Amino acid sequence: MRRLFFYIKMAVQNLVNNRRFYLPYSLCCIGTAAMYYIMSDIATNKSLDFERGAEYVKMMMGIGIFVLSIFSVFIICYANSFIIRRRRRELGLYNILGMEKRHIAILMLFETVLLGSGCLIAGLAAGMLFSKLTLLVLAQILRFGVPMGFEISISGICMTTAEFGMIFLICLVANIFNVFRSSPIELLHSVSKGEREPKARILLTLFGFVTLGGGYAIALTVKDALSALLLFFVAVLLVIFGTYALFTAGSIAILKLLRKNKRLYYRIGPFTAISGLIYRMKQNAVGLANICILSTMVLVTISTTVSLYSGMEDIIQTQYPFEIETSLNMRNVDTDEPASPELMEQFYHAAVDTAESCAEVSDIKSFVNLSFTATRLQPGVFSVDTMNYVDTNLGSVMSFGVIPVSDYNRMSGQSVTLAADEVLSYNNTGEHYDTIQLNDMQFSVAENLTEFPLNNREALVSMINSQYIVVADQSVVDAIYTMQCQAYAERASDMLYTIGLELEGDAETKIAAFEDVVSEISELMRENEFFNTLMLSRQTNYDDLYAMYGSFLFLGIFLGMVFTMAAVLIIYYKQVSEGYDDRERFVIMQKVGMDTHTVKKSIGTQVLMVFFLPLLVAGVHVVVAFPMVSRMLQLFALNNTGLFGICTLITFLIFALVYVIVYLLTARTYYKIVGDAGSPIKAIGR
Amino acid sequence: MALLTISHLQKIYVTRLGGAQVEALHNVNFSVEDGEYVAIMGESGSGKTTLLNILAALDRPTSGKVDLNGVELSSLPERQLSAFRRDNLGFVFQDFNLLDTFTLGDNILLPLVLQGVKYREMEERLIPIVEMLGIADLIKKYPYEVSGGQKQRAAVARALITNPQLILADEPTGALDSRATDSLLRLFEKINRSGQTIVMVTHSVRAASMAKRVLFLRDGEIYHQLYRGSLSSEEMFSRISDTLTLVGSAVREDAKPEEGQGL
Repeated sequence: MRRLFFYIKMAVQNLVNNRRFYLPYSLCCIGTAAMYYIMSDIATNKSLDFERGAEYVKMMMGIGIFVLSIFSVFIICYANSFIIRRRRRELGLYNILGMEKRHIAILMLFETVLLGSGCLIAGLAAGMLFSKLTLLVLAQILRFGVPMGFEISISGICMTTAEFGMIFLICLVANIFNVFRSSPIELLHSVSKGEREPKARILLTLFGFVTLGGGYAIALTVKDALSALLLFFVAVLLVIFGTYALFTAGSIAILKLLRKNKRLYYRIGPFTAISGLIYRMKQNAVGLANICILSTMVLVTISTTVSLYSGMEDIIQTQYPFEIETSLNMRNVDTDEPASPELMEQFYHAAVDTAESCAEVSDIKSFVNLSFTATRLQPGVFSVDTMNYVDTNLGSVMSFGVIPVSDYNRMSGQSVTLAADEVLSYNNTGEHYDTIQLNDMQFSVAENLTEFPLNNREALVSMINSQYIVVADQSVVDAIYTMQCQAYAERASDMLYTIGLELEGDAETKIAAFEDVVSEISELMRENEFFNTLMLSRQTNYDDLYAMYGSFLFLGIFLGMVFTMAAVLIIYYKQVSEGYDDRERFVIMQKVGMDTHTVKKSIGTQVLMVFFLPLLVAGVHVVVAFPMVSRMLQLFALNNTGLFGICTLITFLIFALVYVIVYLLTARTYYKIVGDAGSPIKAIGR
Repeated sequence: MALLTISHLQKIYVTRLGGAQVEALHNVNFSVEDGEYVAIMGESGSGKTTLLNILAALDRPTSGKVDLNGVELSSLPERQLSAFRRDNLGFVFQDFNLLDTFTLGDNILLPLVLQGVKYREMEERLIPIVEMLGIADLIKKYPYEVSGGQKQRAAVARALITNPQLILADEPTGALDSRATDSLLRLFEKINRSGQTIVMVTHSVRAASMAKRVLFLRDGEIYHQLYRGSLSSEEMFSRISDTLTLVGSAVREDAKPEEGQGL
């Protein structure tokens, strides 16, 4: 009993004495545990189940929990290994003073149990405290109804306890293994191990340049969204390899090269800076590369998710140009019989009249359109042929749209008349044609348009260019339709009579109107044994999209916070270990005659360079990744590069601000450690 | 005119919390002539290190004066002290104090870099010194690659390279084996013969027996001094031993009650 009490007392004392290490460690554990609890709470929360898109949210949280659980293992184990390295001397002393290794193991068990349970309880408490707040924020982002009440998630508690119990167990086992493996003498002296000067590793440096260059080249040269998506992970891996290689080997190679320049090197600033940095980089390269990669991840994740979320209106406008959009297939699917003008008339009224009876209709567009894929062989020459897909690049595949001039006139408020072989041409590439050839059909271009009343959704969504022609009348559309049907057989596009409506009113009205239109048109189609192919409502998709991109954003910010926390922890521990190492150097330099001011300046510059290098490199990574990521965002129908640019810039600025604050806070610890040796008399006095 | 004159030096430490006062130096007076080689001996707590710190301008005396070649150290403003130390004093420490981030050569050049000397001149000054000290082929090596004796030679070279008026050595043989000690002491004699003034604080009778004069410090006061004159180092050794025995027994007789009071 007394022995138990002794162990507990000693464990507590050790934790308190090493609070400089354990405090940030505990904060990190508490933070990750709280976030883990919050995520698992949301993933299992039943109050969200009634909302549209709740399944997206839960899926996203599932992904988040997965990432978080792996990440927290790494970050806590990293912090633990750092602490145990710093404590080896202390443990060695216990060993020499008569504690057997098993006693030390028991002591460490007590420490782990005390600290672990403390962190877990605090983490769960913080998690419960903030889960409601997080849920409210999430509801706001997702435009969900505000969930009422406060409940404690039992499954969240269980999951968090299991995860963190396992992590602490891993750390304990690693620590015990570490102590049992080394002799007391090794333990005693391991902190002050003589550091060898790092070798300049030319091959690794070259490898770093090649991989980083390769990654950058991919990011900068990728032309279309699909290849961007395919090559993104290759580029990311290359850049990660390159970053690690260049931080570890490249930095040292460059510094050594600088040292070769005697005139430059043998001056006060460079002399201490270069030689100091060589050592700093050796000890810190991996940590700094970690910070750099983490920062890049945070920046990319947050800027993309913020862009997606704030570009949601754009995305929705692209994908849903009308509040209600419905299309009639102008051929009977079974009999291939064309739709009669009466049916089209009925269809129009079924849509428009029903909508008008439910809500105020502010805009009506109706038009016949045919849209199919064509290959642009050369300017003005398009081919409709399945074979062309095989050996052409994606850039020349186009969405080719055809509408009759009467519909064009109605929508654009003009009164153009065209001869049978005349067309108006519009494309998003800005090319102007005199003639347009479509297989063996020849048209002369009456006018090249710069504006067009329709968006080509297929082209925008699938990231290909679009070409529209306005033709003389329905018979030309029919002719092109027939030609296209022969070329593509069963993969041919339908000719559609589309009605697009804009409605005024709130979400419920719009959804109700849409549902009425759907049932009315279904009725009409059933009567006529016809099938309409398309019924789209912007409003119903709004909620789904908000749920989806909102949970992207939430996850992005949440994980961004976790990554930032990890980066902060690494920075802190780096500052502390740097502090202890620099302390001796600081003292010696002062003894040799460098004044306090110069020493402080020199060390300050080095620390600044070391800690802001990762941020700088992360910034470069983000800039280079920008074109590639913005191409990938096009897959999510976000075409607003300017918006993405602004989001990225703001994210970077905020992150840099956080980084600077963290640096300043941790630098205080650093200077406190070094400052113990600040005045020469304390330094020299034994 | 003496190079270094110390008069009525007193140093009182006040402990940070209690305010209890400890008098580390009590009216110390002596002077060192140009070209002299002086050893200061004394037991732990006798005030050796305090004295050396004051000589090195690392600490200021409570009262009294230190005059180095006409410059009164306590009159120098804090900002100029580092430069003064760098230009006029050379240090040799027990634990070498070489920077592990520099090669021995760069360690030796450090004071010159701090002085802003041109690289060409640095090289010109480095070569003769490292040749004299027998470490010419080690200047590309790092401190962890060489022995303690070699490290201490590099530290001596660093102290000498600025041509200081005075070399202050703090237990320079403390971390060396007997062979390295002998060789370092021979080196000090050689440097001293070339005109360099040396003040060395030491525990070691053997180290002290090589000096031209030995001062004995006890309880913050100069208790005794011995001149070597024409004595051989063996004879000097036994003289010093005798004096230390005397000092030790004197301490045992009259210092004990004082200690009791102190506690």
